[in-house]
Amino acid sequence: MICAMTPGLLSTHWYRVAGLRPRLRGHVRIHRHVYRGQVWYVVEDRVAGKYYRFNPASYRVICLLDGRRDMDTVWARLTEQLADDTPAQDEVVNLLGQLHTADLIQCDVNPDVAELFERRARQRRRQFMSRYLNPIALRFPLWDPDAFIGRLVRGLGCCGGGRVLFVWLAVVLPALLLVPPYWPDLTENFTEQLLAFDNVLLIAVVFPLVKALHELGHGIAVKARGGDVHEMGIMLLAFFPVPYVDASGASAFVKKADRMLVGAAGMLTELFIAALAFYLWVLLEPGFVRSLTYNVIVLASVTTVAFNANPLLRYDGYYVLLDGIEIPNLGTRSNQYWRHLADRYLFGIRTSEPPPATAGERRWFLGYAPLAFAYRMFVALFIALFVAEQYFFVGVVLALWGLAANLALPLYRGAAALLRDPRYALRAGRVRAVLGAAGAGVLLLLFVLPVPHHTHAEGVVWLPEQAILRAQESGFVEHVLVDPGQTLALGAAVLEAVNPTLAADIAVQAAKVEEVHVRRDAAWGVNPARASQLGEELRREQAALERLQDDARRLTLCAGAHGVLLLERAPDLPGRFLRKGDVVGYVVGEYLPLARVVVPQAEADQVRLATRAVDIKLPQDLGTTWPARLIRQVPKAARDLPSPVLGQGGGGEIIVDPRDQRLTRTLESLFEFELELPRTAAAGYIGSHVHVRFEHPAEPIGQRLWRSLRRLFMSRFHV
Amino acid sequence: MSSTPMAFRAERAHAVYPERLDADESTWDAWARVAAARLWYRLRPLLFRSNRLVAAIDAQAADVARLDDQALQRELARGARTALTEPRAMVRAFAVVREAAQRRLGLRPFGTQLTGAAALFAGRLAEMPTGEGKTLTAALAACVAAAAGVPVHVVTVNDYLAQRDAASMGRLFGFFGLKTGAIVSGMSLEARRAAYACDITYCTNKELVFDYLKDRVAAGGRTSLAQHRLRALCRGRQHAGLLLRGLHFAIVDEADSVLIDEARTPLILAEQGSNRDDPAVFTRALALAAELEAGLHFELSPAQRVLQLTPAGRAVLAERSRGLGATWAVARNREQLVAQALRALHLFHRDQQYLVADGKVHIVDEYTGRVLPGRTWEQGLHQMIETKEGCALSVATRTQARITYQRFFRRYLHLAGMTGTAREVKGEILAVYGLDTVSLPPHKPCRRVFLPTLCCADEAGKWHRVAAQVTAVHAAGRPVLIGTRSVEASERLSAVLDAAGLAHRVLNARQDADEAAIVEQAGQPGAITVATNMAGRGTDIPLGPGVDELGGLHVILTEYHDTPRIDRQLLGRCARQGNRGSVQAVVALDDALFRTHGGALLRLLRRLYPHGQPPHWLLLGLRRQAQGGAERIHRRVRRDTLKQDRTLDASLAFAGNAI
Repeated sequence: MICAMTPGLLSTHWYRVAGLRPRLRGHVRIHRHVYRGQVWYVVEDRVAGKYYRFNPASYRVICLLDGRRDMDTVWARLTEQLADDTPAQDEVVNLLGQLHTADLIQCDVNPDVAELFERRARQRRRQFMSRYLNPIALRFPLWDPDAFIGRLVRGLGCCGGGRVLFVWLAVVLPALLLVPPYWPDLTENFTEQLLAFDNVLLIAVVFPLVKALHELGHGIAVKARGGDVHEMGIMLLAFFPVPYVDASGASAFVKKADRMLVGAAGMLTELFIAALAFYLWVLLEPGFVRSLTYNVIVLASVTTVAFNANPLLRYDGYYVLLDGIEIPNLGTRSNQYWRHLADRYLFGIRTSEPPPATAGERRWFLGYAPLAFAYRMFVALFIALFVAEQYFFVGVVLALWGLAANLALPLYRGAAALLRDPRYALRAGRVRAVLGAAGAGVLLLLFVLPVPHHTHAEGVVWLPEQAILRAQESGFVEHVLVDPGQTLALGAAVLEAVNPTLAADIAVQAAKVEEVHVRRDAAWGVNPARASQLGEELRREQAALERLQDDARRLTLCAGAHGVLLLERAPDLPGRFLRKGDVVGYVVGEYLPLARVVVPQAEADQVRLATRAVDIKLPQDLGTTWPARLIRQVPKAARDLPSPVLGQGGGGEIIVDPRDQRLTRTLESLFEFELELPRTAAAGYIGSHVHVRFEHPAEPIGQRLWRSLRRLFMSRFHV
Repeated sequence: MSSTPMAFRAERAHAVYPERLDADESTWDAWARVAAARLWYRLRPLLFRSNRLVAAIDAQAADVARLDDQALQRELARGARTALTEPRAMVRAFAVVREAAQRRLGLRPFGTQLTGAAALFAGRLAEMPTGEGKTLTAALAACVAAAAGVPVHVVTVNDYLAQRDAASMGRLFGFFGLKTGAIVSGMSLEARRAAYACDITYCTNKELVFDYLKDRVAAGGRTSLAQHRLRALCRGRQHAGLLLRGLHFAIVDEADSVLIDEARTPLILAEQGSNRDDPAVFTRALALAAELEAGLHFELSPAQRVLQLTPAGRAVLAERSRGLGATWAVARNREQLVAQALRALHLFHRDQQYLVADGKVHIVDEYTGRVLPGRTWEQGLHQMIETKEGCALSVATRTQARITYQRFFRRYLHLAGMTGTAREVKGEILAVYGLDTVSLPPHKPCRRVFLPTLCCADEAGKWHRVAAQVTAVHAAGRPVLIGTRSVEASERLSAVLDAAGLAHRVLNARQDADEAAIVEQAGQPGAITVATNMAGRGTDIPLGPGVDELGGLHVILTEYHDTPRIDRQLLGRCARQGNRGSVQAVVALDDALFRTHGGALLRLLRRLYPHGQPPHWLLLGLRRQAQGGAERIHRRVRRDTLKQDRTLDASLAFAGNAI
């Protein structure tokens, strides 16, 4: 017995419990679970519907609490055979405290009623906090569906799981097989169908219904496997009401397949619904009902797979994954493990013990926490931004709320623990150093360290009208007079074309002139009035003839500027029909090629004031970068593109107004800049679009973030 | 402010007798309350509005002086109860008590004492300069409260003071027909019960807490008086008599040392256990511990007094203890044993933390320098130290109840305190005990002379300098009091003084039987007294004839303490009540405080001034930094202890015996 009295196992507070005779409450059930080969005991509180997991060492103590033995006797039993896992008295006292807090034990003494009330208030407060702290998932419990689901399960005759599986497969598999042939029909105009206004309304109605069935699926699965379902209610997911069911009754299930089934039941239900809707969609004629089924298909398949199945958020996928890999509480334990790593290696607390876990579990921990954190942040901010587009104030509040709950609060708690927790007292210097270094590092990175900074834009290679050779008159090219690359003087002829119609017209017109001339001569002296009338007509016809002859002269194309001739596909030209106004080539020399670049209003300032250098790349030759020079800026914002090439209709990136026929009307204001291009670069690519990179002075990220934040607020929310 | 009289507004606990519910305050509430009070401290005029109260009492003086003794007694008996709630009646009551004090004790309480008494009566902490007559101040407040029927506990720091004050003030109380009791250690339960039944009970904090714990154990924890009696009846025996009548009103003397310095040490009521430990286990643990290397096998932080085994240390231990038997086979067991052995070796030193006398280990209070009789360390540490010192192992005790001062005094329905030094901790006192601190000015201007601090490079140099200073002052015929931090230091200094041929007396935990006598003599011309820091606290050092003219008592501080409060307490031994006096600090750069909390500044000073005596401002900076660091750690530990206690209580609420 002497060894049991040594200090390591003894507690100074043992006297508080030594004489107690606690026992487990009558309604408590214990289930033995095995996770990754390790035994755990799940204690089920059937009244409160809560579940607690204990390790075998704790279970040994719990087994001994029968209400007849006092704790001294329990202790004697525990220490009959000392082993490394014999709990110390402190641990037993803690365990009793936990059991009491969980309302799992009762003792032979008057309980402290005041404490009971206080604890209840505390629990409520915690529940309240957990319910309302997360703005995108507020929960309101409404109803105890246990009896209802029980009847449902009996009605379905669900006990034969095989039959259900068979029906499910019989419905879902053919649907899956039918999907490929209908794929084009299904995906045609997917976003437009889905996001059209009246459809959004339809979704708002259908979504809760589908989700209600989803939740009912969970409930039925729990009930069918012998659990209880005692809470159902409404959850406001990003302010959108969605039903939920408390399926924690599954925690007690011994077989992991059962637990996984409960987790997956919702998704399975939705897939089943999607399959049924798919059949209807195939059969029905286009109309309201068909678009309804279309929505159901999308909601019940795409959203469930995209959101519910994702294990990084704590939805169904998470729980299925947990049961699948047999790591209960993955999220929390992963965080604990990271905390241990920080303690051990960052703060140098050499005595820090890793939370008990196998090597395999630790690998999961290592990966899960950062991924989940990043994803959670992403979703919170994304939803906030999404909402903010419609309701600015709500969006900003949501974003702040999300930031507070996901980032600020954990950071604050961590910092408070670092400063207050006695564990860190011994390493106060190192803790301060690490915190200081981290803070300084972040500040340095954000506000001191300059990072190269660029603005990207698109432009079009351009020449002034005079330097562009356009066909002045429609006609077939007869021969090209000058070879491309030769230097031309102003007005030199470049090619000759013929237009047989024009020639015929001239001949007809000449004959007409001749005719009128003859008639006038005939009338002259006979009928002076008639003659003068015909004289007028003759002048008119002659003018028409001259016009036609002018046209014919324009069939010979002359250079509008002096310089080097650039012809597009010169050898092909002879015999080709040119319509009036078609671009035949360019004369570069007097006028150099420019790039007309459009920059969104938001970035114009930066380009105008802080451009150190400009690089261009041509899409035809992306490997080469050419330097360019900013020569002019158009001092106004406009909504017209210099060329349709820049708009989305012409292969560019700028969104144009789809109602505009010319495809140059943009939706947002743009500023235009002109760049002087190196002669060698642009030759041959006139009219083509060009990628432009404006290089700005290197600048810390913090300043840039701050500027873009301000810009975001100014442009998006008009404040 | 001063006119707010006593009122029992506290929520009562569910207990066998009246006491306050020790409720847990939410963090935010506590924070807001302390923030508001800090603001209040800023806004409140520096001088406590004493004049108005004193003027009001003075205005009554002539009227009261005309009354004869019986009339005075009638006046208090009639007015005291109203005085609890009615400011005017309180003024009258204090005027009456002042008159009675003059008639019975021959002392006429002056303004500061009246203001202080009113502050105590209103449940505040009165910060009065040392030597302002706190005994009488407490007696005034106690007298009025007791006359109103409120049982009063006046809590002193030692038995001597309790007895002395009870005897001297008993005459005043007796005048009004109030009974006075005093509790000293070693009294029988019957005598204690009788003393607590008196209207006013003088006791030491330790005795009071243990008596309270005994009551709690007798009552079986959280029961009402009715339940307690009924249970006794059902079990067919007389209910065990309780000692106290309840926690109504306590006036705590030296409140900062009780409420802050000693706040976290648990007082443990224990009964003798049946098992005797095997000495071989402890011997083995010490032997194993002696082989381990600091830094490699265990980490030691003297500043925080924390010691932890490293993984390397554990591995070594596992290897070396193989085959040593069942006790050593369990990791947790052997690690705890060796950790305690390491603590015994590296953190607890003979004549600093404990004394060995009569073959027993006695704990020395680090703050008061006194032996704490009957207290033991827990978790086998005591046995480990006994083994280390070769004493017989004491029998392991069985804890029955435990409580810390900080939890005990919070349970008083009405709490008041007095101290000379509360400035630094008034925030904490307010946060933990809800006690508002008022600072009272001295009624006579202070004539204490501060001489520049001398700093030496090492301890030997320091003792040399001290001896030189003592010789100089002694030659002038003035008495000298030298304060040391530990018993060990006092004895080392004594040896140096012996060598220098200076006759002196030593007052430390080893010989505190004739403490009062030594203190009485310390003010005589040419007396040299070496004392551990707070020995003789609470007693005046009367100056011998002609000493005042020579310059009064000279106090030498030989080492800074963890907090400047204790320094000031020692310095306050001289120049009391308008007397002359001088003080000087003689310290060394290798003092324990500087070593543990000096940090980089100390290293710098060591390099720049290898022979000691850095410039004054640098030394002041070092002192501030070291004392600030030490105080921060203590504050943190106190806060953590309170929090842990609460957490434990909450989780053990089902056990129904929150003691």
